[in-house]
Amino acid sequence: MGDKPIWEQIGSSFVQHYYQLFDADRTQLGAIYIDASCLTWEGQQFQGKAAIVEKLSLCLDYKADEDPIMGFHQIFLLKNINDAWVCTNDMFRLALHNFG
Amino acid sequence: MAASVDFKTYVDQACRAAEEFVNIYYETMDKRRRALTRLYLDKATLIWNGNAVSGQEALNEFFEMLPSSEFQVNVLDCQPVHEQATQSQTTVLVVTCGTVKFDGNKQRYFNQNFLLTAQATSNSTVWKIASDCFRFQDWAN
Repeated sequence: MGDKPIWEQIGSSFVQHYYQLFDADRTQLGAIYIDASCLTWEGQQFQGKAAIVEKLSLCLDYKADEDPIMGFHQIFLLKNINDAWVCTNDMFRLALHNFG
Repeated sequence: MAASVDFKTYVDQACRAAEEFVNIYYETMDKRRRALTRLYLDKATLIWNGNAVSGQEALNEFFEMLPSSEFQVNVLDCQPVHEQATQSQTTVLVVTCGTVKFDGNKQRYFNQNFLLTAQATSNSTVWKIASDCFRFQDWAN
């Protein structure tokens, strides 16, 4: 861990934190977005902390679902503002091609 | 309300530029590979399946080594990057998903994301890649 470049350390800590919150309590995710943040969820666009948290809180609980486990990819752009890392851009897609 | 209208216009502009750029990118990749690095900034970084390639010379070398390709883009998502994150440099984040067949290999799924930044020349705006991450996305079922 010590010889990893700093951006990799920041990235992996963020990702760990993000999915922990996502699985435990999505309403807490507001802490990592700002009002200028954008989320594109399966092609649908949301802007601002409130709209993003509302979307993420409403989306299905994948784990509790009867659905099979699905692949996904997600991109986060992080920015350090006032000594805290926030997410300015977030894009999520399920890897639907595996189930087509 | 004005702010959200502005934002929507901004998003639409970003997406149009990104779509045009992505068309040029994959056409150049498939048909004029040698010109591909012109689409990158001098100090751009590519991460190809986890391996970093930085700078024009290394990128040239890398793309020359890559077998000829046939890319098909199925999904394109795009967002403007807030100026707070880029020191007022107009930047868009673009994600593509699709399939690629490299010569001598079977067709595979891929995801790729680009950070594009606008460079103003005397009479137009040219988009260049600042950062590029590519991954195959497939696994055994």
